[in-house]
Amino acid sequence: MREIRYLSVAAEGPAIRALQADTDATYLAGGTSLLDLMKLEVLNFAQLVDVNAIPLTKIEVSNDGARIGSMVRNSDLALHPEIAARYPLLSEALLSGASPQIRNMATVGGNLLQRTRCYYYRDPSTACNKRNPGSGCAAIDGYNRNHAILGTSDHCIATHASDMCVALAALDAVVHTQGPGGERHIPFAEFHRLPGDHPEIESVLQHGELITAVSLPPPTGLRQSRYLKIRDRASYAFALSAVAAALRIEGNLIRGARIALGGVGTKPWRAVEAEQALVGKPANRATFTLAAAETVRGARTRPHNAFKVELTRRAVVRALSTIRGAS
Amino acid sequence: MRSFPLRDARGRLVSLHDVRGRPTLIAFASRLDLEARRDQFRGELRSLGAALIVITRETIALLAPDDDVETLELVGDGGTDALFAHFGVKPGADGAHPLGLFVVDGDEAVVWQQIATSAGTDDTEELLAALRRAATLRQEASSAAQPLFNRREMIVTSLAGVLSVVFLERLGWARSPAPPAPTGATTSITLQVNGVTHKLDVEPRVTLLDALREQLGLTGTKKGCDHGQCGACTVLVGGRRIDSCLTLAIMHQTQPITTIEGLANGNGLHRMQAAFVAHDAFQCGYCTPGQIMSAVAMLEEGRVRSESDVREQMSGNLCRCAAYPNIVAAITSVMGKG
Repeated sequence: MREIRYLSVAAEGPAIRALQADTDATYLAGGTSLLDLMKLEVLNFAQLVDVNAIPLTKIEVSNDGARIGSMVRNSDLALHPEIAARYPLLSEALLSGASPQIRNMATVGGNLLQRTRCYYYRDPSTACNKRNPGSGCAAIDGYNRNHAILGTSDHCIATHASDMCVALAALDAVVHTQGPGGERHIPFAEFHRLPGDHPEIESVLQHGELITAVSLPPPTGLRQSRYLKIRDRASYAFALSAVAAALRIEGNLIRGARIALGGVGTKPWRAVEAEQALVGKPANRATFTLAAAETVRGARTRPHNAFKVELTRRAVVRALSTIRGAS
Repeated sequence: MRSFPLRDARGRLVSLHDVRGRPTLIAFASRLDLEARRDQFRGELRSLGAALIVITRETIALLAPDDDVETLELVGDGGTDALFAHFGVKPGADGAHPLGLFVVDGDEAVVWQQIATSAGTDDTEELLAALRRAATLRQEASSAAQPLFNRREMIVTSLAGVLSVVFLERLGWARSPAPPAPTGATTSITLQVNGVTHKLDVEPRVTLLDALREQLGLTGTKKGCDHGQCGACTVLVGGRRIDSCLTLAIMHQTQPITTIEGLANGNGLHRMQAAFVAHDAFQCGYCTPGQIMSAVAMLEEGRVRSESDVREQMSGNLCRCAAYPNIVAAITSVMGKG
């Protein structure tokens, strides 16, 4: 890691001003992504502004929904009794990510900005448009087994790595920020950007904008849910394909559906067409199979990741079948 | 692999890796007097099932558990300097003399080693104390009535494992090279580690792991991957387990930190430490401090009901020797005791 300057702040105002004063500074929360990548010299910030002392650590749950402070640790959120009861999809997704040690460190705000696990992004000796804009993409013609099949561009095929974000996409979360220009409330689907011509820009956040909270609407019809994560080992591995799904079934008819995917998209991937294919249909395997096909429509595969198409279809069917079986 | 045949006083050939059917511990030192503490050394070597070869610049001495101290001669050229050079034991800066300890396999390939420099003048007591602790650990780990290891390779491996645990702590010998010397501006910080308040000067970029190991000398916490993938660096901060490699020392000045050195109560092992010894829950021992810290925190978290819960909730701690079955057994044995 290169030399850094360090500043600890205890309130939003000083944090934002510190970043406004220094274009080569960034916020430091849990550090589990940032310090990892700074050690590799993939990221090289001159100043870290430690926001751990800012008291954004509340979890408030009511009939109007939930509001989660951005400094809440992943483990505290996953194990919060009311979150686990009302948003089990979120708890399940969080507990499937990383390790207990890392979940004790990683924050909600930081996890929204988790970086990709693309091997080339993490290796400064290779070409990567995300790390070094304009240098090319070593993954497109390289070894691309863990790469995306949805939302890719000719410049980047890296996946978004967070499990939490997949659940938040399905749950219609809103990201709350405070910045030089005041407050913003950003719908989750608009928070992350597709790589397009600028894979180095991953979200709509402006320099100095600080994530303060994530809010969730009431979980109406979302409690019958399942986060299914397919990976190379049983625990502590990134997703090859992950499915966050929720179903509201009345009689035998599907009245509401949510599906989001992880491990296959360049951002947390909400599968709206698949949801539409489910609503109003009988909750059976034929319906699930049709919806599963919708999730990967338009997938662009590479030699080593083509398996993710069938894997994702099957994962979607399994997740939906599990929910129906339990309801 | 170059070998160094030796000859005893009666002209019989002895090899570095095998003395009359016993595996050997090879020690390099500047001054080590086996004769002065012969009976004590013999006792410990008997427990360990090994012979000891002590190499100094002047002489090569051999002590087998049931024999007298013998002097060995190197067959061939180069003298003991060639041995020092072959094993990479070099004099330190500022006149500090080298200390090295090795376990080799049947091909004389090194299977375990520690090299360090010592400012002391006589290493006899240091080595004896370490062997005594190793022998005790070994006895605790195996049943006295039933020999655990029959084949020579197993003895070598077990010897290496036990010695790793002992020597890394006892002599404070670091395994990995020290990180580059700080070049940037340092800041004064305070850390509360194992109930003791430490003031130290660190660069802001220094991780908690490096501060503990390199500045406070608490080398029980291990550096494995240094990227949050292996859990060898697990410590407790405010009672919660974290990877100390992925956080900066400067970030942790308010909460108490507990490392593996802070678990035992005097000479009484923490029950998780005792369980790891009793269940032989390690081979090389490198991941063990992290495993133990993680397991202690996991039981505090109180979400473990079954063996499969243990496996899931310990998944942040990797063991390259794959001692997982015994690690799980050790942890579940502590769970069973409530």
